[in-house]
Amino acid sequence: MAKTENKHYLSGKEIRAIAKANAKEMKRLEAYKYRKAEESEFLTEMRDPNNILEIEDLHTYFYTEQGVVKAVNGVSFDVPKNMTVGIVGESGCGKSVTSMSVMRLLQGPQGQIASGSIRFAAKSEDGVQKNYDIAKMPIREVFRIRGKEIAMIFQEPMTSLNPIFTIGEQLDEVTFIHKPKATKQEAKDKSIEMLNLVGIAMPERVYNAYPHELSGGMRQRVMIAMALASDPRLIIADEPTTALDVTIQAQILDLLRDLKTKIDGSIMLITHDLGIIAEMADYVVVMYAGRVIEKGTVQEIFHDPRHPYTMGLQKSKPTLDSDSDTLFNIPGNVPNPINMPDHCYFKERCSQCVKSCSGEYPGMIQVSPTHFVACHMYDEEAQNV
Amino acid sequence: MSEQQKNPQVVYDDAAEEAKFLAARKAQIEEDMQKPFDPEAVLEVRHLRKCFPLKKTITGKVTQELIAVDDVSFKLKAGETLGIVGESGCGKTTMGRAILKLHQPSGGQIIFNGQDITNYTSSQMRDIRKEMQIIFQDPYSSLPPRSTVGGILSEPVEVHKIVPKDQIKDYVLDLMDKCGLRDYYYERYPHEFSGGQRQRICIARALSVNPKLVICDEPVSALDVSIQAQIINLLKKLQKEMNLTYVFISHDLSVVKFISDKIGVMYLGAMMEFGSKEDIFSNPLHPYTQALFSAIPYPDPDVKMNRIVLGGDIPSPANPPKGCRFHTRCPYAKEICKHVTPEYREYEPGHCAACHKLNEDWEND
Repeated sequence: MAKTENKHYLSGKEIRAIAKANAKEMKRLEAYKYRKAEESEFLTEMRDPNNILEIEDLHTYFYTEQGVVKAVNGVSFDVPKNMTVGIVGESGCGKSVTSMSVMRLLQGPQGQIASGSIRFAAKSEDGVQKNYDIAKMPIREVFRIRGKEIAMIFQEPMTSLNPIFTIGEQLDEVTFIHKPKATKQEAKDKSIEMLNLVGIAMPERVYNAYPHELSGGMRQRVMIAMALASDPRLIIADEPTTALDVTIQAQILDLLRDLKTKIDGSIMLITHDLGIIAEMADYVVVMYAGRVIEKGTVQEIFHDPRHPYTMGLQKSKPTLDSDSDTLFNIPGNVPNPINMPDHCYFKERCSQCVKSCSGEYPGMIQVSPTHFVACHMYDEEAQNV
Repeated sequence: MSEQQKNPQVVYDDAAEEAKFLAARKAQIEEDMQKPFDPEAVLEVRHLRKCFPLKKTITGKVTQELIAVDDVSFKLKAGETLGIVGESGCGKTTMGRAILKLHQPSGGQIIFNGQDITNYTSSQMRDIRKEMQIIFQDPYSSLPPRSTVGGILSEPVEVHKIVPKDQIKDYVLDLMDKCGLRDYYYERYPHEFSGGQRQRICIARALSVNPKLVICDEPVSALDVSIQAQIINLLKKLQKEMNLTYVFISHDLSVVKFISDKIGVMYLGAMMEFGSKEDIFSNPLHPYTQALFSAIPYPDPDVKMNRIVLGGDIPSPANPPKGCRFHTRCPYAKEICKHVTPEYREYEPGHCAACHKLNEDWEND
C-alpha cells in the first residue's frame, strides 16, 4: 500500500517535530512534579463538604512518539462520602488512567497530568481539616495520601504481590510506613486483624505463607487486607474481580460491600462489567475515549440511559433472561486515541446522529439534579428547561 | 428428621467404595465402547479421559497424575452448538483440545463423522484436520506476526488444496468479506488490527478450509462488551450459512446461553450436568449449576438476587476430593457425598447430572 494512504504514517520530519515538542512539554511537567513547594501551595477548598474526592476537568496525557495520547481528556466527577462510585467503559477509555492520576502513579516522564484538579478531603488531624489538591502536589509530598488515605486494589492479584516476601512481611510494611513508631508485634497484630476482616479462615497460617501458596481469590483478599491496613478513607478498586472466576467474584463483591460499612469509607470501583456496577455502585460514571459521556445515580443510568453509547452498552450484553436471536451491537471500534476528531467521538458509531453532531464536542447537559449527559440530542431539551 | 435419628449412622469404607465405583465404571465403559456409532451425530465423545503425568519414577512409570478430563460423554448433531461452562482449571480447554487430538486422549473414544479417530496417527489426522478447526482465546498471540492477513488465510487453503492455485486469492477475499474484513486488509499485518478485528481474522482462518466442526475456545473473553456482541453475531451468522457445528467453551454463562443449543457444566474435569439450553436454564438440577447461575451479577440495580455464594476455592485438580468432587463447597453436602462418587445419570430425557441429591433415597440417608 502506498505510504500516503496510511493515515497513521508519519514522515521523519514530523516524528522529529513531535519528539521535540514532547521533550519540551515533558521537561516542564517533570520539573513541576519534582519541585519543592510549601504546603499552602497545594491546599484547597472542597466545592461540597460532603464529597471526599472531586475531580475537575482532569487532563492526563501520554507523550508518545506518534503524538500526544489524551488518555483522560476533561474528566469531572465527585465521590461523595460513604458512597460507591462505579466507573464503567471499554478498555482504553481512560478509566484506569483516571485512577492512576488520583494515586499519582503515572509512568513518567511520558505520562503526565497536564491540567485539572483532584481535590481530596484528608482525615482531620487535631481538629484541622485539610483538603489537598493531588494534581498540584509535588511527588515527594504524595506519600501523605497515597496508600494511607487512598488505597488501591489492583486488577491482577497474581502480579501485584511480591513473590519473594511472605504475606506477613508485605502486610507489616504498610503499618511500618504509615506508623513509623509501631513495634513488630503491633504490626503483626494489625495485619492479622486485617486478614480476619477480609474473611481469611486461618490468618496465622496465611501470615507466614508466600503468595504462590495462595489461590487467586485468597490473593485478592490479601490485596484488600493490604489496602485496608492503613485505614483509608477512599479505596480505589481497579477491576478487582476481572481475573477471578464467577463464584470467587461473588465472594469478593460480598466482601467489598460488607467492608464499606465497616470501614466507613468510599469506594471508587472501576470495571467494564455493567452487572457489577448495578450491584455495587450508588453513582455511575460512563467513560468513552477519555471523556465522561454520562453520569448519574445507578437508577438513572440503568432505567433512564440517555447517551446512545450507554444504551448500546446495556443492550449488547447478553443476559440470562433475554430470548432474542441476534445481539444488538455497536458497529465499529473505539477511535484511535491520537488525533481525536473535534466533533463527538462517538459520532461514527452512533445510530441517532443529529445535525449538530458534526459540530464541536457536546458539553455536559443536566437532565436531572444528579444526571448529566454529553450528547447533542438533548441540546434543545436543556434550553426548554 | 426423626427417621434419620432412628437410622444408625452409615459407615463408609472409602477404599471399598472407590473400588466398587471404578469396577462399575470400567464395565460401563467397555459396554458403551461396543455400541454402534450414532449415524446422525457429527461428533460423539464417549468416556473421554485425559491425564497428565505429574511425577515419574526413573523407569518412566507414572506415580502421580492429574486427571484433567474425567469421563466426559456427549453427542452433537450437525448445525448444533454445545456450550461448555466451568471455572478456570475445570478442564474445558483440555477437553476441546483432546477432541481435536491436539492432546492424545488417555481413554475413551472420539467418533467424528462416523469414524473412530481416537487412535489415528498424525498423518491420518491430516485429512480430518480440514473438517475440524479451532478458534483460540487470545487473538493477540494466535496470529503469526510476520505474515500478512492474506498469507495467514491462504496457507490452509493451499495446504489442503481447497481450490486450484490460481483461485486462492479470490477465494480468500470472498472469505474475508464473509467475516466482515475489508479487502484492503489483505496486505496488512496482524499488529495493525484491534482485538475484535484479529478475532475476525482467526475466525476466517478457521473457516477457510470449510470445516464441519469448530471448537471455539473462549473466543470473546478477551474482547470488550460492544466488540463481543459483534463477534457473537458473526459466529451465529456463519453457523447458519455454512451449517457449522460449534463446541463453544466459555466461562461466561450469559454468552453461552445466547449461542448454545446444548450446555455442559464442568467442574474439576468431570461433567456435572448436561442438557438442552432450556432444561439447564429453566430447571438446573445440580447445586453447582444453580450456584453458578446465581453468581452472575445482573445489570439492573433494582433486582436483588437470592445469591448462593459458594465458600472456599476450587480444589486442586491434582488432588480432587474423594466422593463427589463438589462436596467441599456444596451447600447441601451430606455424609454420603464425601465417600461415594455420584453416578452420572439421565434424570429427564436428554438432561443428565451427577448428584446424590437427585436420587430418591436422598432424604432417607
